[in-house]
Amino acid sequence: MNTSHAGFDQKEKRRARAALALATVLALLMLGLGIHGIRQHQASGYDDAAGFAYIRKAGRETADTGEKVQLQPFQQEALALLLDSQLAERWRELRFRGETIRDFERADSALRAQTLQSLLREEDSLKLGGAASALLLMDDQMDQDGVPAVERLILRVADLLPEAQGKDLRASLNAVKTEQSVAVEEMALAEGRALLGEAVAERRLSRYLHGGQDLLLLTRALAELLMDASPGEDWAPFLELLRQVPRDAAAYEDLFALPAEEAMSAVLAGIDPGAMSGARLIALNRALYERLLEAAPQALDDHQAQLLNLIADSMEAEYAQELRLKTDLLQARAWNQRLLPLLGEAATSARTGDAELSQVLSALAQGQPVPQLENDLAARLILQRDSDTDRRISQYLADLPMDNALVTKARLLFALDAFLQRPAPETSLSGEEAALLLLDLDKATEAADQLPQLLQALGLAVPLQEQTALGLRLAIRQNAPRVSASLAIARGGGGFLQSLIASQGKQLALLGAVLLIDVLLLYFFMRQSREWRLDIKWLLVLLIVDFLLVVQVLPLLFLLYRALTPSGSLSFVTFGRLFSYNMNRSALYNTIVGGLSAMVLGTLLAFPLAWLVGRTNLYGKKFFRSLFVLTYMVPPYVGAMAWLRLLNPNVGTINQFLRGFFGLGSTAGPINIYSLGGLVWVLTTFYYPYAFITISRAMEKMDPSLEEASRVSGASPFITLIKVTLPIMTPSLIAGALLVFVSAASCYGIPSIIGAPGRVHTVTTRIIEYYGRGTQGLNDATGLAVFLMVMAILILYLSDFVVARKQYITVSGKSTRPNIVDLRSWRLPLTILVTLFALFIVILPFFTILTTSLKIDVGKSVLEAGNFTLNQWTTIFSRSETIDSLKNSLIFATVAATVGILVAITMSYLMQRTRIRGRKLPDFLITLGSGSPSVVIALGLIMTMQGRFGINIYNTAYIIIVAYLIKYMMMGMRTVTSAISQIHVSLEESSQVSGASWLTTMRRITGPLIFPSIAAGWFLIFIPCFYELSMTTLLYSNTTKTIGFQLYEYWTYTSQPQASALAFGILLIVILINQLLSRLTRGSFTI
Amino acid sequence: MSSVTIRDVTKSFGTTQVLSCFNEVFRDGEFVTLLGPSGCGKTTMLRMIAGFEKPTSGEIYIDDTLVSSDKVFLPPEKRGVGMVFQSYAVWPHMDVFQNVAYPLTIQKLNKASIRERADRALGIVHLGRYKDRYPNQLSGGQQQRVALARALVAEPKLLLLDEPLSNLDAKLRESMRFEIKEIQRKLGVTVIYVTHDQTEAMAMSDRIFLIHQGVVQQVDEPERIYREPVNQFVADFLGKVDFFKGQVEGNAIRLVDMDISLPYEGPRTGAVEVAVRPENISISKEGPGIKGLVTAAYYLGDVSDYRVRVGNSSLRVIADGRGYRQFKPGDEATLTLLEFLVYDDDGSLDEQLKIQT
Repeated sequence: MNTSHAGFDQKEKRRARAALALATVLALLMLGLGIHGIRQHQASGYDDAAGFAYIRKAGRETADTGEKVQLQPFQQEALALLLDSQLAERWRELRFRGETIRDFERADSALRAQTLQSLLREEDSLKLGGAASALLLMDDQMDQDGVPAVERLILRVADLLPEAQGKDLRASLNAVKTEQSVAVEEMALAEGRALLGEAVAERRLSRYLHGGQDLLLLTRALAELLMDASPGEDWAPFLELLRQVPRDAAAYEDLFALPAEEAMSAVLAGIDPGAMSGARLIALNRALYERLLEAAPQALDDHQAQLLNLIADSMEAEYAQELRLKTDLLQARAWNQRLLPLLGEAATSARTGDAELSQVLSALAQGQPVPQLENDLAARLILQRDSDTDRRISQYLADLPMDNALVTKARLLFALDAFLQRPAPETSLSGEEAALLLLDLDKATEAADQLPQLLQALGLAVPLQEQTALGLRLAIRQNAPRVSASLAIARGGGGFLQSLIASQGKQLALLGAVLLIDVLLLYFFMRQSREWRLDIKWLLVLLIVDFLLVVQVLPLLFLLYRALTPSGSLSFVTFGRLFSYNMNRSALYNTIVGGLSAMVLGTLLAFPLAWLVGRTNLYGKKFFRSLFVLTYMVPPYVGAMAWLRLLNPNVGTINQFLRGFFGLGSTAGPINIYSLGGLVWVLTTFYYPYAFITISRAMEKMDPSLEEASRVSGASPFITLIKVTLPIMTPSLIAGALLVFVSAASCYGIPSIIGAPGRVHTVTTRIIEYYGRGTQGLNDATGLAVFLMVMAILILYLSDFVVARKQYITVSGKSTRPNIVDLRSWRLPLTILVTLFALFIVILPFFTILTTSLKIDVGKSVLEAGNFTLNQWTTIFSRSETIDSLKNSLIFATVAATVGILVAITMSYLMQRTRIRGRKLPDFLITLGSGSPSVVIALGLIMTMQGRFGINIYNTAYIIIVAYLIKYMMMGMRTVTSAISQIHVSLEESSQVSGASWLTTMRRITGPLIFPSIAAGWFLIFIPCFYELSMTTLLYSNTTKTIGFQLYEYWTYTSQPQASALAFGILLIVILINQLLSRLTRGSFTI
Repeated sequence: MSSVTIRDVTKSFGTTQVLSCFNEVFRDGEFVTLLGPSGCGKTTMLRMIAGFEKPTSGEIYIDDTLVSSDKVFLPPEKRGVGMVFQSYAVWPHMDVFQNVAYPLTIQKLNKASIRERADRALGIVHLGRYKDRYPNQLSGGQQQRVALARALVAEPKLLLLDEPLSNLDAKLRESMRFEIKEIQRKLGVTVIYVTHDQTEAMAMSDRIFLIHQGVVQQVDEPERIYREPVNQFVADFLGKVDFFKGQVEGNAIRLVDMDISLPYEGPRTGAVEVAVRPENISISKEGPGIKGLVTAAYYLGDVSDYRVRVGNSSLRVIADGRGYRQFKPGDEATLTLLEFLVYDDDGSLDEQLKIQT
């Protein structure tokens, strides 16, 4: 190697390294400035960008303008004093609006009481004086430990007394307690009756665990009581009610046949809690209770505590707590009443040294209100608070930058005036008038009301513009943020750059971080490939990686972070808690068992079908192939709706048919879709195409001579299938199976429609339920989401990187047609079997949707007279909501598909045609995205794209499109990648050698060749985006509803026939698009 | 060891007819090659014999058993033939031994016999050492031998080979050729071999069936089909040949473009085509003969390849390599035709495919 070449290399290397270093510095700078800006933003007290913008605007506005009138030092002092006092007053008004001493004096007694209460609760109870905390305690009736208030107060007095007296007092207390316990019991009991009645009458099933199954214990207890208390009771009406409780009443017929009372016991003892109707059980309980109330109220009283406990035990934790709290309160109230005389004694006779406390206690003991005392107390509290506040304000004012204290304070005043909505001054002062006012301190104090004009005249500050003031007020509503906001205003808005940094701090920091990562990656690329210059293709890779990092990796990492650090430090507490709840455990069980079952069933279905349709001479293969793939294009929730109509236990068409056919007498069943089995069934019918397609593709790619060699060696087609085809296909089988599992486990639409009524929860439905429950709920949702995500990633890794490696590359060079197995005598029977399967699995549901959409009364057949109508169709498609949703879906899906396919083309090309380092990275990220459960993606976006990291696209169309991209970009990738890989690079090279530029080659050679797969890839992304539901459920806003979401809403809330019409409409659109696709690509790509 | 009788077999795929009226007998113990350019139908014929395609019409017999007709069809697994595929079709999920033993396990023989016979088959192809290896650990040639062993292990009556050597490199191809021929001779099995490589066909076959566009052109032993091709296609396909237009005039044929007359006593009259193989022209510096000008000379080691311009035409001459330096482009040379063939001028276009030099 000659030296000049080496020297050139060295120079290049140095230049590159310098550039990288520069970029690193820039990145760190941005990061630093960003963090600085974030801090400034936080200091403003308001997290919202809009509010912060107003703060900065306000700050800039109050910058001093105009000529400064020169003030003498004593004038300055006077002004300063004036400012300070005015500021303090405004401050108090701002913080304690409605609760200043003036307000209190003007208020009526009710308002005063309210104010007192709020004052008491606001202050730290330790700081309250004895009297105040006594009042508070009495209001609560009992303290945190459940000790009745009066008892607590007596003990407190005892503590304040000298030892001997205290001991005596305590002794008296115990004596009274022993004496009064019976009376208190009776009192509590009396009040408890109402509580018990209320509890038994509680109808809301959602308050009970397991749909109220635990109430069975209550029923048994009530029944026993009634049996003991009323021997000759007529049990017939109760039996009638009991008959409706078990889901399968027929199973208990022989028990019901027994004599009434025995029957009652027997059935109650033998009933299966898992197959009961909670609602009916509650009705039975009420009936029993009412009868007991009539016949044996004493028994109820005797067992009141036990019964209340039984009820509480069968309730969800929070409601049980509520009930127990109420029960305890009854006790406490009773005790309080009984102990008051003792309190009175203690208060009057004792000299506690706290006169006020004694006064309050005596008054309470005598049951007298103490308005004067309360007023005094309130006033005292207010004044105490005011002095605290004054102290804080002085501190606050002292902390202001002192180099221009007057100016800053002036700005502060204007800011506060804006918050207080003080009207702008109507008059103004001239500079001389202002100066004059300040000559005399007394005069100045009188002119306090003219302070704003004064300041303006002196050129010390300008009042906020009305718009700004309004915006500020609207954007910042709470008291606390106003404090820090006004400080921020007072400090001034700063220059443009400063403003920019502060308001765009998050974005800067994000950009800086991303740039840093890019620089690191670039360094890594360069080093690995030893090319020390910037390759444009790297930039493309980095661009895509950056995008994916921000919208995909960041949300996932954040979810992980949130789930693992619920309270600031690493812990698995969230997971522990989540899985301590029965509902979540059963949701996990359902998800995994459901997914596995669907996987096994789906693969068992898919493999023979793929073989029959791809390798044999079955009649109508092409037709069947399209048909089975069709289900893949249909929204899963549409399938769920269809099967609901068919297998609904009461009115399902199939159930009705079976009942009629087999002459079953029941009104429900035999098949109940609202069960785990029902869920598995629908999941299987809708996800087996995933396995079907994977297996079909692999079968097509398999060298047919492998099977022919087996045939020629003497093996029948069947043996060939078992010994040759199946083993070679195993990796693809596994890949297809895992795909079914992940899809089924991540599905939301189907479990939400089928699972909910039967309380078959899955992890996805739980996530969405939690999501609606506020902050704690969000944490819980995050925990479950992370769990689901980890599971999906593990399986994805397993499938893509372990199984795929073992795939036997058997693509033959020659394009021989696969050997067709002659089914001979099995041909017709198998075709019939497959036809039946197709009819049942594919056509029947679609047909049901169609007929449902044409009915008026869902319960009757469409063929019944007068039940046929086209109204449902016209109604739903003339609704503007529907049209809007349709428009939205079309637009979102189009944008997602277009962007997605562009990324796919870029990535595929980079992967196949270049050898640049790191081209695998975006591919990995894109694969990751497609494997992530939809709900997890949406949740991640929600939590990170509301401005937390500087980007706020929440409630816009963008967030939806981004979600779709992440999830479905992969579909386009696969098609385009396989197409490019099949075009030998020599085709492009020969074009280049003919003189064409890279771009021209793309346009004239590669482009046309891969166009069919580009079109196919586009549609493959478009279609699932079009009908998507899970992510839209979490990300929609009023203006961005999509057709999938609309459909779900119509089905759940409006009308099933109308929803069916919409569903069928969607189906038609999707089929149409598929036909278009097939036309466009000349049949080479139909999914 | 069996014979195969093809009676009036035609095959069409849709509207395209791929084989017309195939009517031949492959004799017991023969090595028969179906030879022809791509798409001529030879592979289709083989697959019909194997049972992977059905004839559109006609009958196929193996020995006296009817295996294919419009009423009867015996599936491949029942025909007792061995087949070697172009892509080897060695199963990747089984090792060499399992691959080779597969046909025997289908027949449900006992373990000892299976082992013995499979080992024997592996011995025949000299792969005994590799029996525990997996196909992805073998070279192309080795995989091909596995396929061969597998085809032979069940001692089939008939062995079908579908372009088995076309994926191998030249040297390996040559050696495999001889190996296959040896095996066939040793075992005496009937072989139907499909290829487009005429050298292969000529080296290995007892008879060659030359097929063109679905029609059998000639069936003969290699020497005869080479030296007495029945038409221009056959002449052109096997070996090298030049065609010239001629006119029969009395006892001679006048080559139109070269103004040469060749003595002729055959039955044809009028316009004819004269076919000359380059090795049948001798080239010398002087003497009686056709005078020409050397326009190109290529040295190929064992032979020299010359282009000699005579009149308006160009003749290709192949001579001994040792005499290469005697003739350079621009030299004059004298040519003598030792042998030539005469055909009717049927206006066939084959000539246009040759690059004019």
